[in-house]
Amino acid sequence: MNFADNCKEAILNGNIEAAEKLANKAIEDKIDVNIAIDAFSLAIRKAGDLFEEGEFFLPELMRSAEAMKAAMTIFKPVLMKGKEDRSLGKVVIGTIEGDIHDIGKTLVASMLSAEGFEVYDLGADVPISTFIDKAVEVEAQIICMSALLTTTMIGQKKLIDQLKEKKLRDKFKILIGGAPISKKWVEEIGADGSAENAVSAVKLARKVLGR
Amino acid sequence: MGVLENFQIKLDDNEILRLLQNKQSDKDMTKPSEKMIKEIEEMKELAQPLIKPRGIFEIFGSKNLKPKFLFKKSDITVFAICTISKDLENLSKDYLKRGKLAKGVILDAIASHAAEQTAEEVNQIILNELSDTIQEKEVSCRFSPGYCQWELDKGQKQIFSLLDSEKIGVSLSTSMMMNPVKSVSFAINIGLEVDKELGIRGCENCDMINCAYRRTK
Repeated sequence: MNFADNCKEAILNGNIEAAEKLANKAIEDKIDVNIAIDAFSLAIRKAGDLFEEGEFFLPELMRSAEAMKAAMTIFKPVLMKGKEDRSLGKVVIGTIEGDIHDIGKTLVASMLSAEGFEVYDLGADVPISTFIDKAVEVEAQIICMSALLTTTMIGQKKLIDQLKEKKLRDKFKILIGGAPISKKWVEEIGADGSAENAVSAVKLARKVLGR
Repeated sequence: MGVLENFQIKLDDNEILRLLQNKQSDKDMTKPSEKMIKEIEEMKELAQPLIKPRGIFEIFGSKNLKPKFLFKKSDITVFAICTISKDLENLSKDYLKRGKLAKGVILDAIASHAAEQTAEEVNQIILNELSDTIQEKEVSCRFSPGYCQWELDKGQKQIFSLLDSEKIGVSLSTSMMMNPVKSVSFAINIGLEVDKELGIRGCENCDMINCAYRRTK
């Protein structure tokens, strides 16, 4: 098996140790870091596809994300040394204020991070002003908001309204998610899209940024 | 007001797996790998001691309950709140925080399933206790605020204003969220001609396509 095949096997099996070994070997063997990361990236995308197709259960996808993260942790110092920027974009993500549901948002953040986005996870019960301040501070391209209740999803609208008031709406793509979110709600509040799971959230994030 | 504790719930691996599959996939459930089954078993062992099922319920005359369309055919309505406590939820969060994502999501699925099983068990205990009252009457399936066109905020306020949820350690936030999250509030209608399928019908027509409890693709 070649390097790319080995990467695919390590990621799809969620084998953290194998992913770390391959990343270290790539550095030792002086394989171009971009080529090496591309091989891992293809593998994590394949894991996402398998989840979307119903072949993978969520823990299997998450184990792949863990292995991807382990490999990227090894590549990071090399990228920094070479001043290479492979980030697909900056994303500020959180669950809207009043809502303490955490897990869906955490999974989206993990998959975004595994695929190469620079993710700022603000946690749950996040005030609207915190989302906006952080997005402005880090010059994010995307704000992702999760809301799991019909009583808290109104916060997604409030954030977009505040961005409009501050004349900042055009600076960010706004992606929303959560159990009560419908296409109608996306249109009604003027968001840029919604996704039903972590894998489709990554695809959507790539799509809205044209990556 | 009845407080229920010291009862057991059973966990069903198939239901845990159902919660862990991609609900948007058209495919029937894939056969899980042995590795996955083993990991679920390991997580269940960790989870079991942390699941502390408790419930509280009270019986009310249905006549003055609102919204009318939900309660008009019923003679009496039982309101109930139940929980598995916060311990398992906290363990799942802890795993996720430490980057142990696979284990974290399995623990969360176990907790969600345990909360539903607790609601099922509380439902059954209530019906057993009311067997003399029920006699020839019909009993609806349990239904919760946020479902069956029962507005979440109005339903939650109603149930929590009538039951002393503190007795089982459940509180309601201003956004109508229960804490611990792995809690369930519900109602059961009892009467001569109640809508028996209330609460189990409707996923097909519901907009909440990402709902963890959705039973249709």
